[in-house]
Amino acid sequence: MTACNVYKKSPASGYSLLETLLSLALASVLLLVGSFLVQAVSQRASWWITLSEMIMVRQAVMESISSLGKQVCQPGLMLGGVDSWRWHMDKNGSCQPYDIRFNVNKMQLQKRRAGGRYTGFIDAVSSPKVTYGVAHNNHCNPIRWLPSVSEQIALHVVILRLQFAVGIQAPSPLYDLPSTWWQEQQSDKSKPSWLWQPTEMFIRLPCVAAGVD
Amino acid sequence: MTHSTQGFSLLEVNMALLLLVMGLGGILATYQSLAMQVQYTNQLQQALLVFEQMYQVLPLHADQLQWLQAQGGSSSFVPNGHDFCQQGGVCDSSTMVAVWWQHWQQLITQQLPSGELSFTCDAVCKLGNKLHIQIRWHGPQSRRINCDVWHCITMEWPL
Repeated sequence: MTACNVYKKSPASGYSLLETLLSLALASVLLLVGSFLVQAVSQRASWWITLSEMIMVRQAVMESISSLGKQVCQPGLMLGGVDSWRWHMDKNGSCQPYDIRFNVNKMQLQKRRAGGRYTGFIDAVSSPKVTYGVAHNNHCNPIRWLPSVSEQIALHVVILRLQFAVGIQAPSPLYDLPSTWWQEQQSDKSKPSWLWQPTEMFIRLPCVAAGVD
Repeated sequence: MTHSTQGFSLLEVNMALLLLVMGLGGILATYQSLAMQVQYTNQLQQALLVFEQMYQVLPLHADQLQWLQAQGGSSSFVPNGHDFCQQGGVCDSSTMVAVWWQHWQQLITQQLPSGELSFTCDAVCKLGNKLHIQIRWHGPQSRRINCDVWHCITMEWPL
């Protein structure tokens, strides 16, 4: 066999037009599927970040309120309203009256020493509701829950129930919100909306009668 | 001089596909694992929040815990005073603790899949004895399961 014959019998090099078109079509489909996958993962990741942020914010808010509650000293509560109250807190070793209130407009929990000015110490809280657990004379177990208490009844309040919502700013979620959450759209549509999650906590006040404090 | 055949061999194509599938599998596995982690953290926080509430409330009703345990955790024993006790009505301590127990059970049922709440005491539920409270629920299976087929957290503390 001569060299010339070998050259003639070798197959044609390169791809046919059909092969090229099929390859391009397959590559397009793969790219399309890949881009959908990346998009879905990125949307889902963004939702996880929102969820994680809510978990952390709620934790931080509750720990701050809890640490505030640990500073309460005898005689405890002095007066209780629907979204504000006055109690005694330890300040440098002395027990002093403090006012605490939910400022709905600023979405803040604020406090002030008697006669002073309110300052915010917890942000991103709304829909507050305070209820007061009132005990019998010389007892520490609550027998009724009242939405507000006078100075006289305040002496028998042994526990506070705080119900409120913790919020974060987040873009409108593409997924169903957990059942108890709700969304609040801002008037300015370009700003991210608020997502709120209701929560509740208790603050036990000093009570001498049964040795619980 | 001879020309070799152009294009990829079957082995090369298979290896490329295998790599592609492994890459996609890796992305999906990470995705799944992160989803489970976030879901589990959320569920755990819900359970811990209920514990935190109990930790504040139950010691105030320590004398009624023996009675509560005798009810076997059933919610049917709660009188029709749920709203009454929480909205200003005067209730005795047993009714109050029963109402709270029902409230927490509802919270757990709403927020944790198949969530359950239970408690037992050592000997009698009196001051000084250990109280065991457990919240359990069905959650992501990839997480370590610590109570048979359930996720659970247990709290023990002397009242």
